[in-house]
Amino acid sequence: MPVRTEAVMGTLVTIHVVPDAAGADDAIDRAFGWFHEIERRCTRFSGQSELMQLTAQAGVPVPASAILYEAVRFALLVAEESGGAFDPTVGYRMEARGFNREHRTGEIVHSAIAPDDDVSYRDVQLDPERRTITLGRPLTLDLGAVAKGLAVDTAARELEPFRDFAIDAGGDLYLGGSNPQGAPWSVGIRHPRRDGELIDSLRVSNQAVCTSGDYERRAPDRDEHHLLDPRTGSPAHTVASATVVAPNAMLADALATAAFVLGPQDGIRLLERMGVDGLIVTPELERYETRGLCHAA
Amino acid sequence: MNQPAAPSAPVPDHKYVDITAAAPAPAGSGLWKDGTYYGWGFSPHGDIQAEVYIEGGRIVVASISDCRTRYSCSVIDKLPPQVARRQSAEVDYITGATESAEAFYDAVKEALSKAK
Repeated sequence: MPVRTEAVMGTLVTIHVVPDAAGADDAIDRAFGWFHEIERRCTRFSGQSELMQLTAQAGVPVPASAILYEAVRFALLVAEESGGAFDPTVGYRMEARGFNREHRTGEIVHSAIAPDDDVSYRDVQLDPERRTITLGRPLTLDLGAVAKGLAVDTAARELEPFRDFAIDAGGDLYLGGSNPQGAPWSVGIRHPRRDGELIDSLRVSNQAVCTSGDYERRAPDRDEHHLLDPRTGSPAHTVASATVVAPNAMLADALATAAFVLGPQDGIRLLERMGVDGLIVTPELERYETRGLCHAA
Repeated sequence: MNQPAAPSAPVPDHKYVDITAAAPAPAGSGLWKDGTYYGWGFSPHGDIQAEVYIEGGRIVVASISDCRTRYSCSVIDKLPPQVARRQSAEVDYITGATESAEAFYDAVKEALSKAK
């Protein structure tokens, strides 16, 4: 069964196609091609990326590729739905807090702009007919989670003909069909406080699973995780990890971030309202989950 | 959307991480300099040193040469597909960030920066 791992988007991405079918290797090539293409367009760690070229032109409509437009459109949609708990304009605050190292080269990057403190997703306008994006004020867009989700989903479309496959982008998963034993895929949820342990496991088929945790990459000089509450600019503290099971990874990833920021009760309410499932674990290891979450036996 | 060109990855070999696509060979020669290079990656649980061996201008193998994490590096020293599956044989995949994988990625990047 073809399995391949590459380093892309700041992590290791594994693609696993269960049937040993003709064309699987070529499909995996194309799937990884999307990861590289989407990273190239949507990274905020390269001034040359389409995203950062857009950032450099506040106040004018900028024509966007289908990839960038879709990523921004989706990010704004989730921002609206979550009341700003998820906000792609949080980018510059992450730079200010030290999340500005390009994982490929180690270089420190700074945007040549100083946004107002009160910028939000409402300062970004889309024109679907002309496919342009306008930044109403100088701001830095951070599409990290959305771009990775989009890459997982686009890669998944390349693999759909093989039915049974898995994509693991540093713990952001899409599981197609069945595992090699012919059963729904089993997915362990990392324990947010104990290394090497799982806090739960789920059964998943044709769905994405993503987790936002406070154990993720920390700023080099501070004891802070990377999940800021866009509404305050400070790290969110009421959740240790938020896991979301959704039809696609872009949605799962963005809603995991939003649920993390909203806290356990409001986070679960958002997931129920959006029609997806999830598990939220607090720093005290209290568990909150949606009614439809499918646990492994 | 236009289809991106497929990356010119080498024939997949599941014994090592294909990091060539993430770190394209330097412009000009199109080749890395032969030799063994080391780099460090850092995670909240400790540090990982990667060793990258280059022969004939291509990356032959990338492995962990020094593990200073609080837990055993055995969770990632058997590289793909085990690297993604990590801690547990009881589930197919694990959701949640993978600092060890990220630290290894950073370590390989640093090693390759010396091979230009």
